[in-house]
Amino acid sequence: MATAQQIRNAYLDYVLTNNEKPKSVYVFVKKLKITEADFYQFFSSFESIEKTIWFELTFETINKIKEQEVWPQYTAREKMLSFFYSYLENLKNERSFVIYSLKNHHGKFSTPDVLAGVKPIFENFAQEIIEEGLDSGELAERRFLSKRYKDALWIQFAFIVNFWINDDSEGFEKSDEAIEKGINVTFDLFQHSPIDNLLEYGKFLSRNGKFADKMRF
Amino acid sequence: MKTQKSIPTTKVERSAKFVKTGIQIGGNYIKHYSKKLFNPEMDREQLNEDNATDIYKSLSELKGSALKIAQMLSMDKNILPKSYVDKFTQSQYNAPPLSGPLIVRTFTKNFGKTPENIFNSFNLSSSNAASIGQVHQAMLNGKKLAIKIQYPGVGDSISSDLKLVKPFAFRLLGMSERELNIYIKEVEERLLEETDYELEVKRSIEFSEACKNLDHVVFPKYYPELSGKRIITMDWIDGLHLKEFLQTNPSQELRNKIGQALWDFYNFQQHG
Repeated sequence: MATAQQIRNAYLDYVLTNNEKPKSVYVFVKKLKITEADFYQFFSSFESIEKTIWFELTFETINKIKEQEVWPQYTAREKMLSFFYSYLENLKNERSFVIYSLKNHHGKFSTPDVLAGVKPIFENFAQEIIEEGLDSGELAERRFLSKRYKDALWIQFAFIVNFWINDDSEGFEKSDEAIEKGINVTFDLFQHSPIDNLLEYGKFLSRNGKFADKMRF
Repeated sequence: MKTQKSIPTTKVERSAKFVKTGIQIGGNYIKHYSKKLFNPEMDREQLNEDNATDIYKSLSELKGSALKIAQMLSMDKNILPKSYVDKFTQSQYNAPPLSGPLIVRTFTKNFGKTPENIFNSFNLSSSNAASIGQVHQAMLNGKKLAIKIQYPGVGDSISSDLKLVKPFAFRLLGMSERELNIYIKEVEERLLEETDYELEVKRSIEFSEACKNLDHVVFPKYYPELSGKRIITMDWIDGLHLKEFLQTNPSQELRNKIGQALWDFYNFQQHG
């Protein structure tokens, strides 16, 4: 009888040593001295092992950062920063796996299959934070755009993880910079800007057109 | 000091203030503590380095007393973590220079004459920068001289510069507000004294007179007639800073000689 953990560790060991998947589930379980039924009790395929690992890394990060005492005091921006700094630190423990699992994915803008489980929980987390930010007034409510904020953050996610994979700077300090600058720019765009005020002013004038006409000299 | 595993909530309030003034310090803490969640063994080196860099960047924009405070803090090495010390000792040598025309004007203000009319030759580019002034080399009657010129407006800006530095010092030194105010008052008085060059010349002459019998200790000659409120003229003495001297790998005998001389000097000052 095997545990999910044992299967997962054996799988990790195999792919990182051999740089490829095992030939089949049959061969894999034979080596592990368990039955195929044991395997399928926990996972439906090799890919689902990888998906689970990714999911757990992300889920664990989200939970741990929320446990921080300071968490309620963070602004939306700071929460997102905290997520990414912690996430990369967590990924560090499995860097070889991260690189292996994403190396075959070449589509720049499509989501890799292994991240299929990650995307929904990340977007959920992002949406939570965005909503808090909208409520507090930190972020600007824009009729059609606010719904898209979480998409912008998923793009940042993909960019930051890919950047980190290719980052060869000491202590991955360049990735830290990518996080800081990327998230700050993204949140700057989410905040009220002079453009919003301009649009508000424009709307006001168009509504009060007759009145405004009388004001001209 | 107790090691903290997570940011105390009051720190977030304080760091939020810094973020608003355009300094990254709040962000540095978020980075540090977020990473620490998954790497509990992590030390504060990177955090200190990031903070020191950010503080240094803003302090180096301020000449005069703010820079002086950075120096003082760096010299009192027991208070600051290593990365701060390393960063701030740089501030002793890196302040950007005074322009040539400004130097000439300082001279005409103090002596009614331009430097070329006082000395045989005067080097308009400074050889060394200090926190409240810079040093130029000049020649007069075959003698090499060092001219220390003070940055204009330093004396006036001391109190306001100190107010600017207070929040940094508050966090760095971990003192209570009352203690910090006492410390700052002391610093202010010393700084004001330092801007009085006439006082400095007078004291230096007294001092070198009192210590003239010590072996292996040399003082430059001061020229009060060529000095003023913002200018000091003294002999140019060639030499190496202790740090650089040690890099030339001197003999143990030479080191002992210097150590002894330093000790005698200190001893003499303390006990007559």
